[in-house]
Amino acid sequence: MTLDSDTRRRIIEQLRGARGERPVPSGGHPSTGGVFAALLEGRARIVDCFDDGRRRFVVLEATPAGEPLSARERSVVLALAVELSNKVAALELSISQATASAHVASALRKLGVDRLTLLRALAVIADWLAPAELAA
Amino acid sequence: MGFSGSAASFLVGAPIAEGESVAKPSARLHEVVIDGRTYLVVLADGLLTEDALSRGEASVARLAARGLCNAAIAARRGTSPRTVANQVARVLAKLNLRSRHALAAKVVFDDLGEVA
Repeated sequence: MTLDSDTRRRIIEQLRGARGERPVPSGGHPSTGGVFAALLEGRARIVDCFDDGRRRFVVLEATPAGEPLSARERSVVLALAVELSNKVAALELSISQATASAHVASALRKLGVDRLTLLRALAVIADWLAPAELAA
Repeated sequence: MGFSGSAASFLVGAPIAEGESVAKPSARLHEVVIDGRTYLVVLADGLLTEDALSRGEASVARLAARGLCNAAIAARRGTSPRTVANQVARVLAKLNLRSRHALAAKVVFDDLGEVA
């Protein structure tokens, strides 16, 4: 599901003065990975992901009755998050590419997004993962 | 939507102040209510998502900015280092940057401010 253009415009309008935080060199934050964990555990879903030319908006919504991702689905989503190709992800997980694709497909169904939207959202959210997770 | 307290709290199990950083240095979490629906919006600045970049190029750019060498990026993406070198060169050309160090700096420090 994606939002209609009017809703997108209103979100951009509401956050007109808002911005991302001025960058700091590095160092984790106590809640690092919170958004990613919420997605994997089915507590949130990605409603939409769009850019206004300069900023990216990943729109999330709480899902009280969401379905958690299975261990394998989490693995393949994490693989997508760290920019592994399907081929490399399958090798890493010792499963076939077809199986990896099936896990990705079921994860996408639970998350309620298409692959491209998820990739675009992960490009932002994955940067919140702890270094240890990224090294996986 | 039946949230108790800040809707953001469902993400981390604790209330988050409006606009508080939730980890990524250049991203913040905002709560937006549209027609009675509460959305959480992750707002990210300084993206490498210029439309000119292909998905592969954007992926390579993010990995290069994290400090990975071409061989490591190639292994991760299942391509050859030569392909990665070409992609990095195209990214630098498209973004008008001189080096992958500049690329990393762009990712970390890009903070262009509000443009009318």
